[in-house]
Amino acid sequence: MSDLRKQIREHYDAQKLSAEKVEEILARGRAAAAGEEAAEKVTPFPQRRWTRRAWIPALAAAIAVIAGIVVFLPHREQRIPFAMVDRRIIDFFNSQPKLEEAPQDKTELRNWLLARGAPAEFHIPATLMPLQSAACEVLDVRGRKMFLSCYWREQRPNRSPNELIHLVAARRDNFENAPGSEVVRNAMEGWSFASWSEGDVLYTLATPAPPEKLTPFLAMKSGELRLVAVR
Amino acid sequence: MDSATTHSPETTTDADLLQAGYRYALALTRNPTDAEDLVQEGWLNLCRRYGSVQSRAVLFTTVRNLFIDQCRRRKIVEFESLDQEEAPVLPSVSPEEPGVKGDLEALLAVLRPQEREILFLHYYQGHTAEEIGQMSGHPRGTVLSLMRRAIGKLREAAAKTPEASACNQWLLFFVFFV
Repeated sequence: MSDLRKQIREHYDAQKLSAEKVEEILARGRAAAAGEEAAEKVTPFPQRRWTRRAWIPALAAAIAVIAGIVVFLPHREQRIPFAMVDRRIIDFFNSQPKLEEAPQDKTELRNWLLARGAPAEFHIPATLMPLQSAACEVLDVRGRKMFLSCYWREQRPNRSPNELIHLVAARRDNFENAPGSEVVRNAMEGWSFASWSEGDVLYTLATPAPPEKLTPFLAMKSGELRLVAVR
Repeated sequence: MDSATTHSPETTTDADLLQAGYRYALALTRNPTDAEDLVQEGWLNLCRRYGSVQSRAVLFTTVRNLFIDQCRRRKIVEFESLDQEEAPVLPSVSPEEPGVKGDLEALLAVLRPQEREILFLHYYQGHTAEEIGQMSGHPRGTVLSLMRRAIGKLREAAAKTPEASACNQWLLFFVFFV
């Protein structure tokens, strides 16, 4: 045997695994062969459970509910009772308001009201056309607008406010139980009212006088309201 | 060379086989910890796949492949041309190669893994150049060249060590001229 061979043999013979390590590797080898090797710790990739996405439809449903409340409830609130119209007129005039002086030209008067949001279909009844215009104003009923125009019933000097007749126009959709095309009369606290609808426009004639003072301006025939539009 | 005496340690038991694999891994890595990991991984891979380690050759091949994979991952593969001029070239490898003076562990450090592997397979396992060529996929001539170069490097390194004796000088003379 050469010296180099002997040297290399002695060198590598001195190198060996410890008995414990040999046993450990052999035991693991036997386990691996038997398929009993301890499974490596593998962190499972997180599965997307349905609960993780459940908040999305829940959130969408919540948004839909809230949006419904936001959109629908105001409409419900916007439809205020029709009876409040008469009440509001009385209260308004009891407060002795300062009104805008109305133009005598009825077309100009109508345009003035249209410019402030009156319904496009609004027109002044023909029975009021000959009357002298007194004032005009925009009223507010729970956030909804009513368009007021006042006329003198009598054509004489030194007239009192009790001789005024008021026309109030509003959008019919804003009121619950609003009358149809049939005239509905009402009287309270010395005031007389007559209301009806034409299309989407609700009209109310009011005067601080007995109901018969209102009758000439309704131009009724066989229970049917006849009005002539002024365009 | 090819007629060198084949002193092959008997690997009759799994423990012996494992120790042989460890020494082979150590020849490749020179690091006991790396060698331990290498042989363990190779052993377990074979057990998982085949249920047992059939032979030393299979274990060596597995360890060798794992080592190559590791080198590729770590990009520590060394390349050295066989035509490298600095490397002393021996005319032949004597079957009765004189020993080298000095710490063989330190001297082996100057060799590349491939050279250590060939020395291990030839001088420790007793394989011929032909067999080593079959195992490593190199031609016999390349194996012999590598072996000559490895021995030359060993002697050169031994000559540079402080404890290098006159005997080593004489051995170098013997190697180059005999």
